[in-house]
Amino acid sequence: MDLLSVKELNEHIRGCTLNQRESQKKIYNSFYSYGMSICDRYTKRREDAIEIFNDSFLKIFKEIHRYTPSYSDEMNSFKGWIRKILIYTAIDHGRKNNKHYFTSDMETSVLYMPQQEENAFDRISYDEIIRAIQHLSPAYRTVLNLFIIDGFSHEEIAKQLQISIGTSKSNLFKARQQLQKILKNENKILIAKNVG
Amino acid sequence: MLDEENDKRIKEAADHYHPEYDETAWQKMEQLLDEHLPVEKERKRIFFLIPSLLFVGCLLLLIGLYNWKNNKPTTSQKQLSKNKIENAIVPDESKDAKKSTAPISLESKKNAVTITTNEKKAIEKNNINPVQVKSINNKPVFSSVKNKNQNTIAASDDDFPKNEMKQTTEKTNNTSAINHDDVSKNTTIENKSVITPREKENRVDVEKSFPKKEITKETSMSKNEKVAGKNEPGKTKKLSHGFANNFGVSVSAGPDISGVQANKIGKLTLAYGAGFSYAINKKFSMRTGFYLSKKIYSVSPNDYRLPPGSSGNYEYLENIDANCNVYEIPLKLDYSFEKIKNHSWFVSTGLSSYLMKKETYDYYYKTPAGVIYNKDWSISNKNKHFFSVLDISGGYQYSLNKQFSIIAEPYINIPLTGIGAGKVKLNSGGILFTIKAKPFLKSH
Repeated sequence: MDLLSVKELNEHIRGCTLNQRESQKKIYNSFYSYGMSICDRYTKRREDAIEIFNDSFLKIFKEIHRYTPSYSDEMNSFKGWIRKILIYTAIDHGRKNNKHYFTSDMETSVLYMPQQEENAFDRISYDEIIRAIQHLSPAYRTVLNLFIIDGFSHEEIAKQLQISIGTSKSNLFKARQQLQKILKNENKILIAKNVG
Repeated sequence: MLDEENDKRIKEAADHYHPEYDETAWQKMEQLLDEHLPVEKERKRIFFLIPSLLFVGCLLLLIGLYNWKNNKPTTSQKQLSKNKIENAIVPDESKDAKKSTAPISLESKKNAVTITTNEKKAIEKNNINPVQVKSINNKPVFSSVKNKNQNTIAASDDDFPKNEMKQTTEKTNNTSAINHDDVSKNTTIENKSVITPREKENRVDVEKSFPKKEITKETSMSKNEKVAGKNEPGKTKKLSHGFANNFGVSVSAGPDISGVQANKIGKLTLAYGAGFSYAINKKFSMRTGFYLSKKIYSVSPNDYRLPPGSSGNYEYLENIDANCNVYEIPLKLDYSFEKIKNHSWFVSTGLSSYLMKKETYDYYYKTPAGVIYNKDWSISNKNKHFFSVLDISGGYQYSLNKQFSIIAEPYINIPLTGIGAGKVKLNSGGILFTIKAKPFLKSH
């Protein structure tokens, strides 16, 4: 999908404030890949990811008339705005589906990857890492995404997920361990034993 | 640290992960939008506009009907016209002709006037119809004079069944009973057969004039009953005269100034346009028109609502200069005070619609370092504000003649909603100078 220029982005934002369907579709399509890359990390199934993505953009279109750029880089400013909405919607989605989504200590799942060559670590694709993240337990997956990828602090995570800071740190530790196990197979090693 | 390396790897994976576009996702999104954000706003605008136009149209129609009804002649006026028509009928009816066509009864026979001998001679000499000689009190004339030189005709009632008149012309020495048949044959005069050319002419003249007038009267009356006043030239003239007197066209121009706050008055510009007016009665009239004006003003960021999606460092925004081309369509009601000679005063109020033809905004910024810079932005045909501006005005009108007048009208326009892209409370004021004409009225 073609990326929008800043001028086009502003035009279509104005169109969205007037509830013009053409502008809404244009923005939806332009940020689909960016938004789905976030939603896919917070859920296991593609259908759930699409549901999170659509719910997020419904909120975006409803509130777009209030949007003002936070800084001079208008494209990144808009991306940052929709990113927040996508993440919070994903969290709400998880909370809605499972009451103890962020607190329960889920069973670890191990994904056995096909045997690779000795230096397979370097050949682990980004897609595979993302798939491995998808297979983490929901609580670990969420904290890992928020802390490592989305840059939230433990305090912010604790406030958002309504958990303690200790639980947030603990879940992150366990998420890293689980991810290592998932990616580790006979010839695919994500990390060596911790030496230092 | 290994964790850091892993985290970096994970972040890179996330940054390089780009799922492919899925059209089914948009279809689901569209369903959500149809449910939660249906596209109805534009239809609502149209639905608002159409009833408004219908309402204005019905109002003008009612005004026209009311005026037309007022010009319709009343019953007393009808009676007056009827009397005029009756009086216009030729009074000198030819009673002789009338009488001459009516059958003469026995009563009238008895009251007949006697023709003297001398008169008879005159009649015979000049060949004058005895009926024309004497017609006193509309009584028929019979010859009943006894003369030794004339035969007397003793006629029975049977001899005068129908306007029979006996005329003796022969002088006989012998008196003898005239055979009834002979009398009937020779001397019976029926009006029908013994009508002189002159009498005939008179009768024709009367028939021509009198009955015709009656028909005309009847025709006009019946038409008045059916279609009141339509075919009577006097009433048609009144109706067209009413419309001609009430309808006016005008051209106007004058200075206009706009501003959002009292301490930030904009630049003086020219407003101009044309309009129509219609007088409902002596006091009230309605008018509308089409006017062009430029709204040049300055506004502070607090009074200016930034359009969504606007880019820029708005925390440094100091001022916004606006330059807008506006089409104004007013709908106003005027109240005129009593007219003294050619001078009259009036007050007016109504609602105007602003169509923002082109809006240009200059945004002025000042950084903390003191650097000043600006950025401009234009939009065209975007904002329309129907019946969103309250007009209040008063003025003076001087009638040059029955057809032309000149008007000076100071006014103020107060917005009822935000105007333009910035949704500002844009006030305007000025003076409009107008030349008004009644194009369908002939000046005397």
